[in-house]
Amino acid sequence: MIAEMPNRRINEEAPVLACDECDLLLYKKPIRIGQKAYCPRCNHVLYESKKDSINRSLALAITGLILFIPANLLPILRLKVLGIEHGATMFTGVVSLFQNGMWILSIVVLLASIVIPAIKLLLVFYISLGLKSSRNFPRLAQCMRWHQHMDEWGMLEVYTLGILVAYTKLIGLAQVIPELGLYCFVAVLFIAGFTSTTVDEELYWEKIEAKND
Amino acid sequence: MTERAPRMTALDAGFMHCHVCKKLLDLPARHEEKASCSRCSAHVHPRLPNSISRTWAFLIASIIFYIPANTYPIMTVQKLGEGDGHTIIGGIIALLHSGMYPIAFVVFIASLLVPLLKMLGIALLLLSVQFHWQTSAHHRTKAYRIIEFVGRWSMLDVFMISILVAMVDLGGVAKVYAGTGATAFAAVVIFTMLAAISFDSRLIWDNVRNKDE
Ligand SMILES: [Zn+2]
Ligand SMILES: [Zn+2]
Repeated sequence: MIAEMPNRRINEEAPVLACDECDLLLYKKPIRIGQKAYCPRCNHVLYESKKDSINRSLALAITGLILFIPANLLPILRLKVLGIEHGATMFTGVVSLFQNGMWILSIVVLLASIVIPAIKLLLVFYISLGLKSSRNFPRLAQCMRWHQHMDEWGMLEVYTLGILVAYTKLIGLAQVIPELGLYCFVAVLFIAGFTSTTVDEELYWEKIEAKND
Repeated sequence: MTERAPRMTALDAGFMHCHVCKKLLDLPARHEEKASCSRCSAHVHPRLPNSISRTWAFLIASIIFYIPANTYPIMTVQKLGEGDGHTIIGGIIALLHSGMYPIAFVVFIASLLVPLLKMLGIALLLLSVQFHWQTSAHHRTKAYRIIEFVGRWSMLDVFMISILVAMVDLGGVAKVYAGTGATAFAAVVIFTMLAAISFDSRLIWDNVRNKDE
């Protein structure tokens, strides 16, 4: 482990931080809620203050997790052609690929569209609850570290566009009916997107650090 | 807002910043020493280790997979027992023939243009750092951010296929199978994303050192 940096080395009062993208050393200034601090050299967003971050994130995570179940189990689209009907859920998409022998592809789709978004919501739920509660929640820092990587690999919004393209491809050939699962899925998509904007990472890390001490 | 500390990078001042939780830490006494963050216990390096060679490796892997991704069919549509394989370009042409111009345009951008531009962009960024090109660091940082953001959208075709495979399963009447091209294409997207993540954008700024500001 490395010793913590004594802040006073550069300036008595102001804490310092470095820009993620260009490594410029900067003083950290308090900002108002809803504001962002940008790097003066490369314009990268350094930090952002978010309103009522923990409560809002917790509420969104719970809603998202509840909607996740119907979004995955109910059919998203139903196909009607020559009197035959066939519905597809997100999960049957993965299963059909696997039965096709395309198991690598099925794992990629399973991870990007179901597993990673679900883990992200679970992590936000656990960390937010842990920071609200006075009890000891183990491994908060580790969970927060994982949470940081989930945004890179979750691809709900791309999956939605995939549904749209599949829909337009089929509409000329058969009757395609959007089902309840699709609406739940779109709701999960928005909620997962919102949680990225409500989690104040700076605040979460500070609280986690304070809790561990 | 933030304000410049004495204009220098964290590295110049003898610090390094944790890429996960953004904490500023002292540089380890010896260069080779392994350091972990006191707040989140992630491994911390002043610059990502072997960033350039790792990025090249992922980039070359994605270029190699780009060939089968475009020459093998990404899916086969079987109607009344007769199979018909589609490559990515074939799929776009089919959309154009059926008059779906906006969707054809979206698929063209996501599946053809974005992967190509992304691979070209990463190669140029790498060369610019390796050969100390004096092109604007601002422009290169912007290019890097765009590359990082758009990469995931190329998964569009893969998700579309997974939905079609699940939906169009009408016994002997019609059935869609995923093809080898789809797996190769998913590999292209994943490798270009890994290449973007392994590239350390701070290297762009290390090069220009006060010239470009
Ligand atoms: Zn910067
Ligand atoms: Zn850290």
